Amino acid sequence: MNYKSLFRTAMLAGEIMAQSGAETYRVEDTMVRILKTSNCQAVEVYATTTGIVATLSDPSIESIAGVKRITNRSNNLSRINEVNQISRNICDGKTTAEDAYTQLISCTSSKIYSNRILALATIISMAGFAGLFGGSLLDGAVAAVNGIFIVIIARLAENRINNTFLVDTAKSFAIAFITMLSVQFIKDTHSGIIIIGSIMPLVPGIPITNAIRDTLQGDYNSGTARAVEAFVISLGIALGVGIGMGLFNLIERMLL
Amino acid sequence: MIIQVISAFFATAAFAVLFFLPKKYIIQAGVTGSIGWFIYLILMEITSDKVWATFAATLIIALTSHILARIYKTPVTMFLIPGVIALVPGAGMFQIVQSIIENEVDNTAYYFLQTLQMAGAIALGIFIIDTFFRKVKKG
Repeated sequence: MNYKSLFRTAMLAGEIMAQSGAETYRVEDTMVRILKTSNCQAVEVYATTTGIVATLSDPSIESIAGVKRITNRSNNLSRINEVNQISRNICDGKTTAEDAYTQLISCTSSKIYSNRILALATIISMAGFAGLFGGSLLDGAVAAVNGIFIVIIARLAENRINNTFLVDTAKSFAIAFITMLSVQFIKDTHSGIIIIGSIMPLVPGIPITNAIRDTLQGDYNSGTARAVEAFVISLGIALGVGIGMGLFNLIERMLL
Repeated sequence: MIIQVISAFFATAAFAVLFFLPKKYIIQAGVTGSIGWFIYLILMEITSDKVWATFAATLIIALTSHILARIYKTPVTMFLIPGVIALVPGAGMFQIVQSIIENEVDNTAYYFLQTLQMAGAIALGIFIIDTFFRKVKKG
């Protein structure tokens, strides 16, 4: 058995899972399962939100160790599903480590939805959340208009600004400003509901829930890392909304 | 309330797309989300306690997700993450930071506690159903 390539495959599987927003125990579990197929005595994996450490050793081989830094994280359920399937195939002996490695590489480059569909989904989700929080049809419509601006900002920032904090601030600034403006001119709209509904695609709901899940699981490092991540994302959004509303009030006072 | 439940379906399904859930599962994820929100709204009517309503809704969502995961042979996360998205206190996180920026100490403490309780309720709900299914699996 080629231990090096098995180890390489396990590291990549863990890396993709961690980057796709899988829970820490799932990352560790997947890697341990893959590495255990080698029947080595010592298999250790330590994953956190921001990095993975793993080692594989046995009296008969030279021990292998590796570190992988995880810098960007997003939610990608289809990748978690694919990696899960590939790792199962390895454990059942259906695929070799080499084949699995190429499969994993190809799954990182696949994109199941086009940008147009993602943009549409952003707009629908914002209108949907405005409705979900008890808004009227008009509230939903304003939230959808916010959505269009969010998509435009995301498109403009793409490949130019590599800082999600700043992009989130810009997006939430636009949301707050447009909402205040619309509420001023359209009757029967509620700024609170529209703003909360519109920022839903930005706010860190999943990180804060996963923070508590990781903590309950005993992964305290990941738990606190995710909690801090959630806090920083919220800070960007709150800053943007604050500046947007403040600017609107300033302009309103100057004009009236 | 019907409008809210229908909105929940669209919000959850759209979010599932943003989370790159494969096409064939989008409808199921949307239904999971709207069932959860329906339970939440009903419990809010009866008890008007956000934490209890969130907890009960999470139990139902986690249960539905586990059943769907068994049917389609996928990780539970696939339905769970989009399903709970309407309940997760993302807005709460935002309100915490907003009250910190505006220097409102009372509001900060209130939203902080509420967000922690709601996130805790969701985590606990998921944890209970997970444990239950793990026991069932082992027989």
